[in-house]
Amino acid sequence: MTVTVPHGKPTLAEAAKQLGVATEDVDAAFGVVPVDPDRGIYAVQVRADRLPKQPERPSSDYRGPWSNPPIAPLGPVQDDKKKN
Amino acid sequence: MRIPVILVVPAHEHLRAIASEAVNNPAVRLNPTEVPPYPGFQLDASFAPVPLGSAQLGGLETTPQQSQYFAVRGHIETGDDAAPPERAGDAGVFSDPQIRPMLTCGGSPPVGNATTVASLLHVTQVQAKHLDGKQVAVAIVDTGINLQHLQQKIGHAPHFDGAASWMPPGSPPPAPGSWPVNHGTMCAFDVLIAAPHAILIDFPVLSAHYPGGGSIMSGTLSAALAAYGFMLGSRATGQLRKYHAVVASNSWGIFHPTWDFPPGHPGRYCDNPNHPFNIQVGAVGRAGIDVIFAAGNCGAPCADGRCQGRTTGAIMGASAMPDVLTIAGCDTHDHRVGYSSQGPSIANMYQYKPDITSYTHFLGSEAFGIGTPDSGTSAACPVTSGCVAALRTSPKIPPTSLPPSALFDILRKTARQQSGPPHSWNGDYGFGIIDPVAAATAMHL
Repeated sequence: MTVTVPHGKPTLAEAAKQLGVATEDVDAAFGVVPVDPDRGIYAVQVRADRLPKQPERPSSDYRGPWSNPPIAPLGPVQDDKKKN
Repeated sequence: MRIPVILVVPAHEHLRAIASEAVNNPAVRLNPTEVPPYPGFQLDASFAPVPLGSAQLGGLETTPQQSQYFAVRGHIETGDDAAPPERAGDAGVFSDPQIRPMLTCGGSPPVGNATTVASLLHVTQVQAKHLDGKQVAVAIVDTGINLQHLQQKIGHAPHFDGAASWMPPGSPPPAPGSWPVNHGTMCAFDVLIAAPHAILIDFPVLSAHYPGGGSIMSGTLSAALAAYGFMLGSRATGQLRKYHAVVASNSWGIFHPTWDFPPGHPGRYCDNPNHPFNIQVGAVGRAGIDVIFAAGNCGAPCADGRCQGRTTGAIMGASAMPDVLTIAGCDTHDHRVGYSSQGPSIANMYQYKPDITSYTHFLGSEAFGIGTPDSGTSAACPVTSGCVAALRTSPKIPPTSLPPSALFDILRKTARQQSGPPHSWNGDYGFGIIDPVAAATAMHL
């Protein structure tokens, strides 16, 4: 999830409040990660089952959930017989 | 339809004479009026006849004077659906197909070695300008570096800054520089080809064990998000602040959109410039860090199996952001490797990717075993990162005066284009093969 805070890096509690979740539902180990500090954008990780209900049609200030796909090294090249 | 053919024709004095003269004068031409006519065949007089001896398997006497048959080249006309004739008078008609170099693919042996790559990049000339990576940090955003293996391969300990490295959560993780020998060690080796004095920094995002993370060879994108967040802070006020420049080398990605949220989801990564990681790489670039990404290994005709046969729009996510330099791969014959992902990018992202091409599939680190190549666009990316680090050594181009976007523009403009008009883009090579000497010259370094 992302939060937008104009005054600098928020605390976990401030991020949780903006997202409408409890502070303990925000992953403290991940912390508050700067995405674009100049624009006040920061990321946190939140338990999916604790997220407030998302609007059916996301607004322009969509905050997540954002995809967190697996990533893999681009080598050595694996052929079709070696599916990951 | 006019098709090229080879005719095998009986010997004739004129053919013998021209074939003899061609030994010392390859530009000699046949005189069409002195060559016997063959029905339907238009002779190519610029092609010197080739003696074939008896034109039999194991036949001898292939000198012009002794040969009983010769090959000549030309064209015949056929109907669109008609088969070419088998004979033209007393001459046999044979196919003259187009030929192409055999592409280097995943299972191909190494093509050249690290010394070959250094030679092709003219590293000696680059270093003569005192451009060797000194005072430039290169973050290997990968599986982790093994310094012991590097030392064994290059003969001395590389420059390394553990204090500036990122430590992923885990139980507990190896110390920076002490990760198992794997992909990250390969990438670190490849940086040092062009920038032997660069300071390596360990960012083992692919080995991070956040909840839901993968094996040692794969992590999740949130690890990269966290690592780059650390990098931003460290560059602003931490350990990375002391370096003249910082380069971030990224030889990773997702192989197929099914690894991501479904199409149309607002939180998707691969085709969504608003995803926080895609926003973050832009912020990192504006902070003056040169972010280099591999294009991917989903190119035709020999894409990685994990691409599931999808070879168009295969450059995705951060690799498709305009803020990064995206690298395709070629072998040391300057031929695109058959798996290098081809542009344009996936829809809704910046289309003109890859940016440029660099070298891969050479014998280098042997991180995956003796005799195995450094391969994938994974190797091309750190080779490029080393070139960028070498250029950034110059005090004339600090990131504050030449931001990454401007440097990348120079690299595109000075690349050696392999096909198409000069300074044009194509989906295989981007703007061409990286040329650090030309880039240095363009910047008056």
